[in-house]
Amino acid sequence: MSIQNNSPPAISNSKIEEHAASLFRSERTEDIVAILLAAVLVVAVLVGLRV
Amino acid sequence: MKKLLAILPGLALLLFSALLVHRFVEPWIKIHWKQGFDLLHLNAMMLSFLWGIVLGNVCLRPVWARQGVKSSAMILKTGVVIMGSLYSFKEIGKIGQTSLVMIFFFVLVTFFFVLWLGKVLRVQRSLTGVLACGCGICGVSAEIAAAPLMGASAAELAYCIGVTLGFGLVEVVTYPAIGTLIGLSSYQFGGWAGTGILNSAQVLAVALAFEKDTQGLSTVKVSEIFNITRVLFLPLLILILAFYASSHKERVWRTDSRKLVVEKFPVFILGFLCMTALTSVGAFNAGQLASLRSLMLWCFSVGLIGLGMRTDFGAIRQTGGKPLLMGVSAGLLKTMASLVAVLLFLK
Repeated sequence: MSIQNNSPPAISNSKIEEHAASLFRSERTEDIVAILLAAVLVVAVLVGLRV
Repeated sequence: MKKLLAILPGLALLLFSALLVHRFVEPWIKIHWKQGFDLLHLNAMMLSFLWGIVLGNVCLRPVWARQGVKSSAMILKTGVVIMGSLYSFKEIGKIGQTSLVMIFFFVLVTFFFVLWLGKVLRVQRSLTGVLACGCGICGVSAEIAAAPLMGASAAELAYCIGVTLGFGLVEVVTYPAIGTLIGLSSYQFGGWAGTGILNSAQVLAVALAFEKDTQGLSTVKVSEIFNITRVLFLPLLILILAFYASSHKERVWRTDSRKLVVEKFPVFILGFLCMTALTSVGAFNAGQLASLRSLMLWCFSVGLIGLGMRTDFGAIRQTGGKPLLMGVSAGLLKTMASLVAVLLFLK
């Protein structure tokens, strides 16, 4: 099944940009939240959490 | 607050599953199917990933768990940030020198190979560009970063992600067994996984499955340095892609190269380096480092279950024809050539 034979659904250009940009924005947010969560866990270990 | 609450049920499911795998499934396999444990590397990490696939494709991803399962990528990244505490800068420098040379070569060769193949097979330039980026660097994240630049449609992006994850799935299952059969050392296997496997999260899954050094985590450490090195190439490749797109008079989303590099920089690596800096200045004692390592492994286990749950066989089945041929060719080229390079240059 080739992609040429299966045209993707028609989406306007601005919507495509919006979709891809929102995906990338969520990756960036994910990175920042991951750093914050790691910082919380590190502080917890520093104040005495043992796993 | 509402978003946080939406994550909790799915997160609870992932945590419960991880506990189940660690406390019951792995010990059972160790006793009753030692061959599977030794050759197929069915340890807790591999089982977490496989269990996730079963949950996601057989139990059809419960709606109430969807948001929590989505957050598993973030939990994997949290594990990678914490992982920074296991290294010293000296160690990163030592492994980094080798990884830089190998990754530089393989990223560019794979990238241009896919662009060339796309031209030969007459596949749309937008799809080719996105797939070249994904196969060249780190899979899904690179594809998401490249899609707006190439003006790829959501459906094309989904095709590329399906191809990368589909081939990666085969790699996850086969790499540890091949590594064991040909007797690769931890260093060699880490280098091979970090260079040859298309998607970052799958590099982690494979390295954790192969890991024999449960205390030092040497395979995981080497593979992640290789993986991080290639992730660092993302802004560079995006820049090349911008020139590629503009040279063919296609619409480029943004052409400000400095802005492009800053925008595409993978921020979580800064967290990883901060952790390495803390370890290098002696911020943690041995007990604290052991706890950080355990927390990291739990993050990986939970994240891998989520990764498995997000592996959608329905979407992978839809990929086919030329894009699949391009992805499989690039993946095989990378896998075989990097194995040869590892055997020749990593001792």
